[in-house]
Amino acid sequence: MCPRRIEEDHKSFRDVVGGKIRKALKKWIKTGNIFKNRGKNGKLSIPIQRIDIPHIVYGDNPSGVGRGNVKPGDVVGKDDSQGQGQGNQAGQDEAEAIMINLDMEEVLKFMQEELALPNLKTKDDECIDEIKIKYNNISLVGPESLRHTRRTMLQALKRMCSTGEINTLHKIPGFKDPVKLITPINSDKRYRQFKEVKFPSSNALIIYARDGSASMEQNKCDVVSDMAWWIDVWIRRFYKRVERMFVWHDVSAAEVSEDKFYKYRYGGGTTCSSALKLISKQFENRFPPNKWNIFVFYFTDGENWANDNELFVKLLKDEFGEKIVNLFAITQIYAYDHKNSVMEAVDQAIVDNVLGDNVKTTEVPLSAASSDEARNKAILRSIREILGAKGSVLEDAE
Amino acid sequence: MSERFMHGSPILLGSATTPGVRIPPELAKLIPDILQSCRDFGLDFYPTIVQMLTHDEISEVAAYGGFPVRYPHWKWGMEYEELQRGYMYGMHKIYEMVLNTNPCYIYCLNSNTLLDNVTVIAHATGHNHFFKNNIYFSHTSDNMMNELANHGSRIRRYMSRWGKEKVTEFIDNVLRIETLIDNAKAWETRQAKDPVFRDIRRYRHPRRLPITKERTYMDNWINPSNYIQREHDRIEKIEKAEDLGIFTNPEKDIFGWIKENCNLKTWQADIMSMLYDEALYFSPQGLTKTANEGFASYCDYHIMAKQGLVGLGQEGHDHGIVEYSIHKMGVLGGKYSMNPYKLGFNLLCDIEERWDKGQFGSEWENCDNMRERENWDQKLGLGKEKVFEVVKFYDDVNLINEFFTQEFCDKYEFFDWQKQENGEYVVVSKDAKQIKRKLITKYTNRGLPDIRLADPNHLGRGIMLLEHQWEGRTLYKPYLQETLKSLNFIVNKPVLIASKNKNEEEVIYYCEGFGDNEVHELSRQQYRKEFGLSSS
Repeated sequence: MCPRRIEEDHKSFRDVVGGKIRKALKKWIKTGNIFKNRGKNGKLSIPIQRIDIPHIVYGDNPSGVGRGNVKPGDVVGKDDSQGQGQGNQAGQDEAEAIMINLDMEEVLKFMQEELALPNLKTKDDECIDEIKIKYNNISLVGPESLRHTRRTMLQALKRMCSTGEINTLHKIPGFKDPVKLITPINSDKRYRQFKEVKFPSSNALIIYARDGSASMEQNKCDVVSDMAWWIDVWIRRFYKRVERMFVWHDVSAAEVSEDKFYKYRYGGGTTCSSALKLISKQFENRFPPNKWNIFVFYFTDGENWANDNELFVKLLKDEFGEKIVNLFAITQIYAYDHKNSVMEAVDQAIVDNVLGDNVKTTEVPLSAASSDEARNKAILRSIREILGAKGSVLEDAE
Repeated sequence: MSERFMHGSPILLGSATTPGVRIPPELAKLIPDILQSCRDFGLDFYPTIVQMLTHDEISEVAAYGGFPVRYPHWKWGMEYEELQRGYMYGMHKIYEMVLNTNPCYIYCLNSNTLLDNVTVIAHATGHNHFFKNNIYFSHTSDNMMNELANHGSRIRRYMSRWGKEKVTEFIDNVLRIETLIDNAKAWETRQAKDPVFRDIRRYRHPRRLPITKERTYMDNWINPSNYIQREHDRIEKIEKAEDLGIFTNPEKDIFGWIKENCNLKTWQADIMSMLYDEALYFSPQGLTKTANEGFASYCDYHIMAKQGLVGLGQEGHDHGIVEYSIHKMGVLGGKYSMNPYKLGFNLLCDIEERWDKGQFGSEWENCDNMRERENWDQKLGLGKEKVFEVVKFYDDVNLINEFFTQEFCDKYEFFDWQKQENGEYVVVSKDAKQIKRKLITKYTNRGLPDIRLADPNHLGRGIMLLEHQWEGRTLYKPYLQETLKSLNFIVNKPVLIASKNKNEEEVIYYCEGFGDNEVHELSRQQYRKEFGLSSS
């Protein structure tokens, strides 16, 4: 069957759709709205505009003619598309959009390009070697199933040439003339042999810690949840084996499950250093820093007992040096301007060169008045800051 | 006899690449009978080629609008995907396709039953008659399959010369303005413009009223000097306007005007003229949809049910009538919906009944006695003749305008609905006049807004000014903006369109181009300010 003409056109239509997807994705990433959508089953669905060839047409048709046995006043139908977004332009736009499923892998690749997030680095010296088996050696003994036939025959040929055995002619049934034969003996046999190869480690430990005091309200927790999910996805891109640990603290810290991490609220006061103490204890036995790439993400609203800030910085300096953790990121989500906040103290320490490059800080300004978009953009910016993206791609694009 | 039947012609094979399926022998031997029945019914049609296709193939052909030889473009791929998906999910199914060409192509679906296919051929022959006889199709080319194939190969050549992306981008933009044509242009004989070698002054003389020789003494009185002076002034004005290149008449045929007058590259002008021809070719089908479908339904109803063709190829002579009726109701059904097939079918049946009974003329119009009107039957039997006359001379608007009467409206239970604020559609009235007005509005200009080119050199600044002829309905803004951008892309000039918004206030949409690719919405004051006009 000859190729059909429609196939070419169909393919170019698919390309048009592909272009639309890229555009839509770009828009979504730019506004940060993507951080509210969590991909399920490795797929993320985003809305794209319906594809059509626009002509000059009339707008919404508010009346018309029908037929049937009715009397004036009867309801003959309902426009479902209106629903909640009445008279709202945004509502109309969304009604026209169709949802398209995308692979998370593609989304992440796109994020890498668009947000210019740098690749994460592993620790320089203390990488643990991971052992893998590769069949890249030859031995004289071994099981028959691993016999290397080509090498064996080559060996037999070499041997027979050196002894002159090769010149003897043999009569073989099926052949008219006598032929030369190569016959391997046991000492010619060669076997494949495995060797242990060491690969650099790809273990990562992500520690999420958060302040659980009463001032961490629902909307702040949502920000934590959104950011944590995407950071998680990003880090998993680089490491094969990822362990996660969740630490929650008020006056004292405790390790909790993921569910509880997002749900727990209403603790008493706040001692930020308690979380650091708990985490640093884990490094002794459970997660030795020389075997793990460690990423710590600490979320707070900045309120801390004043004298605790000094202790916090001291602990950061002593226990979370560059050799111990790859990244220590402090995200401060605040609704009002706070003096003497944790971030202020840490920033001061960074300026004074007390802390290393692995400590990063960012803030997510959040107020009741700020719109969803502003919030999403703030999250986007924070993620870029703590993951160490350079330049301001987004601001340029606007 | 010109109406011969050609058996599965190879046109879809080879160059056109769609392999046709052979017609099943049980259908093939019935086709002459079906066509004979059609001839007996009085249909006069082009020679017919029946093709049997699988669903995949019919989707392909339908995606190309019936002509599998058209230029490459992604929009066919989009149609194809839509049709394929619709079929896959069981949403819809194409029963038949018929092409307005000579010979006429009828495509049947091979998964249909025998009865369905017999019906389809009878139905399609009705279309065939319509194409051959209706006056709106009198200017369409008979040989469109070849012409479209030529367009396809020409556009392919441009694509290989200038790049596929570039040509496709241009076609994308042209397709957006393809509705801005004047259907009446099909009647105009088109000819290439004569090249101008030297300026010729054509003298215009003032118009004088005619006077016979004997009455020359009346001349000063019949054609007084001030009248002659007025005429002189008028002519001078026109000549000056021509000299300055002032545009006098609002032009409806914007597409054609751009093609003729704008500064386009040769390949662009050629592509535009091809697409213009295609748009003109397909426009009568939009103008006569209701009449065409109605007539085809009317034909297959008469041929199948009244002439008893339902028994063709069946075991008994009336087997299949139930199946036929069910399918007919499927085509003409839809609760509360305004089905154009049904409207056309009912209108033609009503005409047949009225002219059979002699319910026309001034006597009928002036009769006020309801009982008399109800039992009015002069046994004239002119119905069929009248229907064939209507098919010959009417399009949708004229059909509804003339034959949508109070009685028809009452009999077939039309109503007028309006959308409420909560999104509900509520019946407002059953008034025939109101309904008729709405129907006519809906069918006028194929239901599209009337846009005119008011001035191609607005304010002497090379701005193209379009006007929306306001009838009380607003334009759909997102599409309008996209279309303006496309116009701007094609003519490479700023484009303005004057319309009104929901509150009947004047709005002007402005696309400047030259890097500023946004469409701005201006009120009248803003427009005056922007363009530096005095506020008076």
